[in-house]
Amino acid sequence: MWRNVAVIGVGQTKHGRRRDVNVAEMISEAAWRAIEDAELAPEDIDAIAIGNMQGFGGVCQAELWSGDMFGAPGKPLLRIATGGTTGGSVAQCAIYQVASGLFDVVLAIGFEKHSDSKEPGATMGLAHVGLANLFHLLECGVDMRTSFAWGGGVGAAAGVSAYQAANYMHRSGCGVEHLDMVAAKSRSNAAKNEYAHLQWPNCTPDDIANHPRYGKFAAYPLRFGHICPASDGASAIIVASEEFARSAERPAWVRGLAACADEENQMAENAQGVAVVDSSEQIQCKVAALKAYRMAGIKNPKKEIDVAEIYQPFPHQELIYSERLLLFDDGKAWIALEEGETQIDGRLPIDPSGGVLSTNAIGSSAMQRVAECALQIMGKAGEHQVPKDVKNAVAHGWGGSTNFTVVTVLGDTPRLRR
Amino acid sequence: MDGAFAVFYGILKILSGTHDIALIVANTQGSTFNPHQVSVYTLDPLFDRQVGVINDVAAAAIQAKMYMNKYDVSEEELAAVSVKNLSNAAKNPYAHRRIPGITLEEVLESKLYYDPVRELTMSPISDGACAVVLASEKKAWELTDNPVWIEGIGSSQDSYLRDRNLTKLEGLEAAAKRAYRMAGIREPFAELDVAEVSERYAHEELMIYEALGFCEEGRGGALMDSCATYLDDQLPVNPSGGALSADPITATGLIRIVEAVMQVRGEANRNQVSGAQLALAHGQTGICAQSNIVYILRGEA
Amino acid sequence: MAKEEKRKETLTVEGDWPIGSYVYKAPPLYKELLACYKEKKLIGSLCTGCGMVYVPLRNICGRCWRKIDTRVGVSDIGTVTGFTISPEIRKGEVKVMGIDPVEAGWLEEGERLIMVYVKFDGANSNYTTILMNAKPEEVHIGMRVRAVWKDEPEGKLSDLQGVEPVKQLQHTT
Repeated sequence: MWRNVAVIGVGQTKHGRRRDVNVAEMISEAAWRAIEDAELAPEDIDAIAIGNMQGFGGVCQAELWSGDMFGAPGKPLLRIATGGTTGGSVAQCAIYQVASGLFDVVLAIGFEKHSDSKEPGATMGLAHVGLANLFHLLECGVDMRTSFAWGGGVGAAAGVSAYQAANYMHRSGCGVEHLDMVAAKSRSNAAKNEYAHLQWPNCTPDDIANHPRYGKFAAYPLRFGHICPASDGASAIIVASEEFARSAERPAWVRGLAACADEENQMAENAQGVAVVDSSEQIQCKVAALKAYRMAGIKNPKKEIDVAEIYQPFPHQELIYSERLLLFDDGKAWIALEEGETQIDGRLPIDPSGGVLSTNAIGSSAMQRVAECALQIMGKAGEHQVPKDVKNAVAHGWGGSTNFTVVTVLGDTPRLRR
Repeated sequence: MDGAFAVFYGILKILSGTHDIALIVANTQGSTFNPHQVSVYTLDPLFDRQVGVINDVAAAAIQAKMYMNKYDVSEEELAAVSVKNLSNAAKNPYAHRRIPGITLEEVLESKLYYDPVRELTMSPISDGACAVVLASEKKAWELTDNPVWIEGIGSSQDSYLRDRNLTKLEGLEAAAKRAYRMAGIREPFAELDVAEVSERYAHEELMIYEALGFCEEGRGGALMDSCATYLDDQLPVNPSGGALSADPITATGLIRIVEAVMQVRGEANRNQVSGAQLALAHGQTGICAQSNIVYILRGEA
Repeated sequence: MAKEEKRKETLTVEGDWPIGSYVYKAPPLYKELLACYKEKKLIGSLCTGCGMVYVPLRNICGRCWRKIDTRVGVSDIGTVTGFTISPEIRKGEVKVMGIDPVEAGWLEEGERLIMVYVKFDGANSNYTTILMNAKPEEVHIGMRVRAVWKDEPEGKLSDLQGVEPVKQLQHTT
């Protein structure tokens, strides 16, 4: 049966183009910082969960040869790789390890080192995602040349995302200017986050739209300025049982979690018409959100969620997923954005850390969403701490060719009350 | 990681109360690529990959030499493992490598790769898939009259090649101790009815005996000589034929779990260990069995 | 239970998976290590907690997970702790640190390569390398060996080409 679990420590490396560390050091940096943040010693860790994209950065199962650098010898270790949701899945694995009653303190690490690859912008690994995206696009009638151009020019995931953006804009009535708004918000929030990659203090939508390089369209409606970077970085959290969490000042309790995959959202076998044609639908995110909120006892997410960290490597995804996380009505997220509700000092701040749009070390990104929500609840988010009382926060991740979703709800009180 | 680790993740979700039924699937189609070539990428890219001559087979061969040297184990004792497992596999319809009537000479004369690893003392490259369904206690009783309970789990990752004591599977020993403690097992050799272990190389099975506490340290060869782990003897190990008979890499550990379950349910057909009720299943991942997981399974009879 | 089915073999589609090229980042210790290699010296990291000496250099002890920054010199004479002998090697088949052993004259075409783990005196780690100037029949665990350095070291990992047997004192009877 469920046991109360809390996040009691968070550690991150500076994300960016890190040519000053190697993979093993990078992982160890994040792990050390999390342990120090939780005020524990390495011997207190009972188990480890770790993950990154398979084969990325030219390393396979790096945790096997670098394990000595983060205290793995002698401990049970689970490796999880689930596309873009990897970090979120690893965090959830650690949460289940404690909730199950088998372990008391678990270290969860997500990492990625894109810059060790010679291919520009993205790693070889993304080529296989590109292929998935290619098939997805082929089903929707996009010709090979255009989709290769999209894939090659901006990194593979941009392919399916451009199409997704166009669908959302058509459905909801929002314009490119709203994508500019999200991107500007992300860059300026990232400037307040010492660990983020692309930082642009006080960035405005015009800054993005009128920039000579960033303003150009990579693949309509996505400008180059709307595209996430390929960062290097690692992030780690420590989750613990109630007994250990009691010693922390203000632990971030795990109230609900869920994952859902909509395999019809991916390439269907031979495009036989069973595939979801509108990739902005993302129903699986709603399913996961409903399950997580029910577990958390949240009946009205619009009112009860105080901050959301959404996995948005592309700006329209912040809008799509905030609706699917039931924070705004269908097709209305862009109106809330216009009215400033989702700004860092707004009614419902989204991605006060800057989100994935400004920092994307894939294996680490979804973990950072959980870590950032925890920091907000613990009051440790520094310059990007939202200026309101944070009682509940939701962390989200998507992955694959938009078929995986993970949703984790954190709060300032445990799930099970005595 | 091996499919056996995925079972662990399924168990965590069920024990947390958030899920009732889990489906675990593992598959590899080894014949479409060369897994030994791919395993090179799991080495440290800065040193061992640069040196260029080590792959998982060479590393296992070095480990075999170290083990044989330390405890005076002969090549014949290694070959005996292959004879036992491949004879068992001859009666297993699921096995890949079936050589009825296999002899010690045949094993010792098979093609030599990295000394002392030979064709028949290392696992074949197989295609295979395996799946299990796990359920919470309540759901299990609703769905079946014949559940097989997971009584103990233990897992541990060892240090990397360079810094390990390669003559002993320390990680497996720690994992086994955790599993035995959870299941309340004090004397594994006496209490267990059957064991299914993942032995990619013949010498690994001897080292596994020691790590699982079936015999004293260094006495794996002697245990093999005593025939106690043969199909009709005290504690049959790998009645299915083990990894030496079929190694679809990521499915191998999961297959050991399934074979152990079949033993406990009395469905192991011609290799049935009579009256088996308490079984051990083992999965490994990483060069020279770096990360290990052990399950203790008990039937309802 | 599976039936003994006779399955028809299906079509095969050939493929290649170019893994891609990589520029791995090494830790700052690597530079230190290579600088020592240039001087034909070996160096290890000592953990003051448990006494383990790591070669190559490390900045965290795997056993106690303590940060370590003490350096100790390590002898370039050591003991073989493990070995194996490869199948016959032909020119163009393998590269040892970027060098083809047959082309470099270390092996005759069709000879077998001896791979060893060496514990250099003063260190605890197994160093992976090849045994040169020895026949497969000669190698044994416990054999004393010495590092073979390149004549003109360049500050690369390949400066330490391998190890060769150390002549043992032979007593006359």
